[in-house]
Amino acid sequence: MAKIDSRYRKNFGLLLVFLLFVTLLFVISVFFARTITSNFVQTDFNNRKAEVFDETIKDFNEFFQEKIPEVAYYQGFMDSVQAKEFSSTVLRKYPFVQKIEFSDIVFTNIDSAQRQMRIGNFGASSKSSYQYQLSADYRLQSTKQTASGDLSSNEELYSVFLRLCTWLGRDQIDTTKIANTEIYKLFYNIQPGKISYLNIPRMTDILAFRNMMIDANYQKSVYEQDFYVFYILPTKMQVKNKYTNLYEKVSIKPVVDQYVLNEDVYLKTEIALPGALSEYKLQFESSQNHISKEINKKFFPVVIILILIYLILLSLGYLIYRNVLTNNRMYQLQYDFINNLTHEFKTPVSVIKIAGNNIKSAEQLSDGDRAMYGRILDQEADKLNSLMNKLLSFAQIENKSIKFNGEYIDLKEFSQHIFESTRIKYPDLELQTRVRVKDEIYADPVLLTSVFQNLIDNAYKYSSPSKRFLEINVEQTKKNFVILFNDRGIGIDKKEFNSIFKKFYRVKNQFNQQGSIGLGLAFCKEITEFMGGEIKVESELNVGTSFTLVFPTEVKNG
Amino acid sequence: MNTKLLVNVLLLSISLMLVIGCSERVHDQKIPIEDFFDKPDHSNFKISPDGKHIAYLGLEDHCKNIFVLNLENPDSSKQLTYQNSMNVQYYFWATQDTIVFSNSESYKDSLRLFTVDVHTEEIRPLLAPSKHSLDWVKPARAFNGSLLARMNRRDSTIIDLYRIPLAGGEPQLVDENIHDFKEWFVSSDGKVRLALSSDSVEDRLWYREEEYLPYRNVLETDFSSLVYPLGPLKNSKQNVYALSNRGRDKMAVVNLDLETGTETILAKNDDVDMNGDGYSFTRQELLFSTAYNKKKETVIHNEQLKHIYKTISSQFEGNSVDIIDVDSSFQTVLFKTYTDTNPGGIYYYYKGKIKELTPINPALSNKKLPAMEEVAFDSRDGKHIKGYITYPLEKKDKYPVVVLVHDGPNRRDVWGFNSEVQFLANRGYAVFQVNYRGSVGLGKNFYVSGFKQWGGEIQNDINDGVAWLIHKGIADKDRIAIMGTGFGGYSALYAACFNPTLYKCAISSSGYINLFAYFKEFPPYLNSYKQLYYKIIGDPQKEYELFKAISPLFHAEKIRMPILMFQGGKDRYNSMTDVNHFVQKLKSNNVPYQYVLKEDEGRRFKKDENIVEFYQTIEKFLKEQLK
Repeated sequence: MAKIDSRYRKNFGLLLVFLLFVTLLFVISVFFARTITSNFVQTDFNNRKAEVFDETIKDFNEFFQEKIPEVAYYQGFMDSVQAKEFSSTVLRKYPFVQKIEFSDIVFTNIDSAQRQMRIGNFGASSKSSYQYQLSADYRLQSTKQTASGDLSSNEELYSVFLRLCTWLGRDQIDTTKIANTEIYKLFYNIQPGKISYLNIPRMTDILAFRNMMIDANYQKSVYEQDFYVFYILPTKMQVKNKYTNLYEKVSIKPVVDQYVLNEDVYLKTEIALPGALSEYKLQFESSQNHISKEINKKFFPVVIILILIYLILLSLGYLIYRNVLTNNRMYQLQYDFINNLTHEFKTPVSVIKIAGNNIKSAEQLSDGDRAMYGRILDQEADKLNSLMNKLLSFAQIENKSIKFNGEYIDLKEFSQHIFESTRIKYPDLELQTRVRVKDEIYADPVLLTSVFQNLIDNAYKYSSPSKRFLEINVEQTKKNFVILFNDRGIGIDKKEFNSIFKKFYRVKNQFNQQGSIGLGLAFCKEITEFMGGEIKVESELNVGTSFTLVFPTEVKNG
Repeated sequence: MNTKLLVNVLLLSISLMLVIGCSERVHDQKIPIEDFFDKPDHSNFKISPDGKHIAYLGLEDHCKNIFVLNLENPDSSKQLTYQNSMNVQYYFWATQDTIVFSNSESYKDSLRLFTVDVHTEEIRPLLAPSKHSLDWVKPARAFNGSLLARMNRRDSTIIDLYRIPLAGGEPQLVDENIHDFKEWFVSSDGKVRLALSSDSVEDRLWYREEEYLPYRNVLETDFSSLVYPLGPLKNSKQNVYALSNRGRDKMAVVNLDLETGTETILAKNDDVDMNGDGYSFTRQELLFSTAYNKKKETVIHNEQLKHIYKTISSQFEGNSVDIIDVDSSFQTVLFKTYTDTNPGGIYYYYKGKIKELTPINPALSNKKLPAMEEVAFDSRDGKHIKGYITYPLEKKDKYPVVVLVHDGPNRRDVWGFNSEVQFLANRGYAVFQVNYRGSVGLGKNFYVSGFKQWGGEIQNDINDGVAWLIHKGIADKDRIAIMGTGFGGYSALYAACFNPTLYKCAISSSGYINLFAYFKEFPPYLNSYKQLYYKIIGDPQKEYELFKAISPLFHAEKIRMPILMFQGGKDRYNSMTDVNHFVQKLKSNNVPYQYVLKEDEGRRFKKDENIVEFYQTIEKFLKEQLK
């Protein structure tokens, strides 16, 4: 016993260490998780800005890549009416376009006073130019520029024209196509805040321009072209903050910002805007509070998961502990069983030994003595035999090696037989019986007898001598045979209802000190279930116990 | 006797079974693409002035060279030129002994003209290589030792008339182009008395009695009428043969009095315009006249030729026989035979005998191919529209249909052998061709009714034809594709934008994407030409709304149907910037599209490997889309 006790103590120590270790692990992982989350959020703060940037300049890109080239679709055929219509859609759709200047220009080699720019024989002049703008109440305002034809004032057009002429004047130009980079260089002029665009002429037109420039005798021609200047105000772009959780404030700021940083800004990053927007940048800011909130939000699920893992580990520990306890109880039960069994065997054996000694030492044995010793020996041998039978049959049932010798039994006759033998066995037991059955039961008579015997024995054993009473009712319902054993014994605590059918379990009370090995009820349950029935118990302490056996009337053979 | 009959019947039935077996196998026979578009090795046959030789271009050393066939004495036939790096692009008999040829690669290339002596094979340059343009005055032959040509030699923008001495030497200026002349016409004595000027809408004929006299304007036409001189009348200075539709709907061959302007109709057709191919300059006579009606109809006016034609026709029962060339003494006739199911060949008739010169497409000659049927339907506004349908050989209840829209729109589909149609029919599609309004050859009114109807009534005619096919139970309404080149491609793309339910998919080969750009192809100095196109399409400046409404580029975002697009990099009517934008829009709208760009091809692919790839791609695309 001492050994076992020490083992318990060692178990607790291990558990304690386990508990401490797991807790420590939990605390450390929570700490690391917090640090990693914090780092993660800060990295995110720096990385996600590209997505916000993309979203924000999406409209601008659409305008630049799709809307502006639409001018070229018209191949120079645009006049003020079309330009007004076009400008109206642009100004309304893209609020960052502040103002649009449109010039209906011609490229020609005809000498005229109108022509203001000239390289070789190739010249450009503006037929008319207009300015379009949205008023405060979103109406399109169109103003015709007065200095018509005066191209020197139009520096945008001037620079595009110059570049085109420089390119046309080159010795070697590919006469089949213009490369994309050339197109960008020649027909776009992008400055911060402004995009100028000359409608891209067809290749044949470009060759004609070249000929006009080089060849003085070239056929006098006039080519219409359209020229646009779009004034861009990046601050009017709509910032699309996809990650409000990360960025508290995203704003479009001039690249050069002389003012001192806002002190309460905890994290700050920026990204430069491209092309015509390059005077401005996209600035991302967040306060400490905002970032902490985000960190906590990200951290929360991590902590939940860690707690869960912790709890699982703890419950695992508990389960192991419980398992150890159960094993220990089993050990004790077996230990008790051996104790009891030894005791059970010891009494008849010592009685036999004493009887034997007495017979041996007696010089003369009277008839009465002989009969007495014979009865004693016979009785004790029976006791031993029944004990061994019990053990043996139980073991057989456990191992499923017993055979079910089923037959149809008339319960009236069968129970009458048992009642009679009981009355003989326990003359001081008040036995009330009632048998009301129609059909025969299909069962093994030997096994059924031992179930009856066990229950009757228990009723007798666990009753105070004054209350030895047993009522046995054998009835038949629609589907079942119900056999009720009702005593007025000491009763069983409800807590032990589950345990009483377990092997080697004994309720602890004064009637149970000796002569019980804790197998009776377990044996009954096994046999009943083996025969296809079931056993139930109801009891109240100090009032009585009733066991109910239920067997089905219709037995499936098997 | 009886046994013999039995054996005969047996043999007959066996052979019948064989024939049936064969023909059944023919049904599902898939002919390789290459076979449809095989070009003959020999081409450009021309009879010599004396009718005793036929010259042609043949392949030698991977280059086209001139060969001469001696009809009288076939053994002395020979190869005339031996070029191994450049093709002979074209040639003609200048005299009985001299052939003029060119080996310029394209109209952009410099002029390289030579003469070759038929007997000595001596090659001499005709002109020093130069950069200007040159067009021969028809008929291209020498008069008094020199050739007549239109050249912009003096001023690159002005085309004048010159005489080029056949022996070599400086060309001599005949006429400075003072009246915006488009063409000059030569009289039988080699003098130039007649010229045609045009501002593309109105044509004027100018006449002078002698070369030293000034031209007088003798005739004017309105934009829908046409007078085109074919050549002089025998023994007459002031009367010419001409094609004319003045005062009538259909073009007729007439005898035109230049002084009075009166016409005498020589040949006409009530349904279609006449062609001007039957005039012989050497005989100064209208030998025959042709017209593309249901089939090509040839009427021989000359009794002697009529007899010969009858002899020839009787040899080619069931075939159309087109006269290509005939010499002045009717010794030699060069002709072509074909049907709608047989590409046929080119033959010559010489002194009563007929010999084949070349089959047009030998790979297809033994194949069973489906016939082309003429169909007619009424468009939604009651206009009578004609077209052709070619069913695949395998009969079905309903056919998947490919609507093949012809280019132009100022062209027309005609009955005859068409490789593209046969290819599509062989792949199991019924091919539908429509001569929508605006197509030429079907009369003035029909032509004019297509003006300013791009994407309008023209498109309706095509769509109504398809609706008619569906209504007749011919077309499977879920499996109709529309395809075409140039205007046909434009029509396909337009349908992709605006008729999404009628067609399953569209195929465009250099289809016009942006009509603003199309219009820009006319350079500003050719402003006069624009007048006609203002009428045909519209004025891009005044009617820009119309241009926007009918240009596919402005409506690319409406397209949802699968598109297959081919584009030649040298196609002048589409700007590559526009095409790229168009394709970009298709891509960003997740339209299933396929885009094939060939940098050095024009509107229509010409190189063999590109043609094969073109049709391979189409075959695969249609197979996927018209499942």
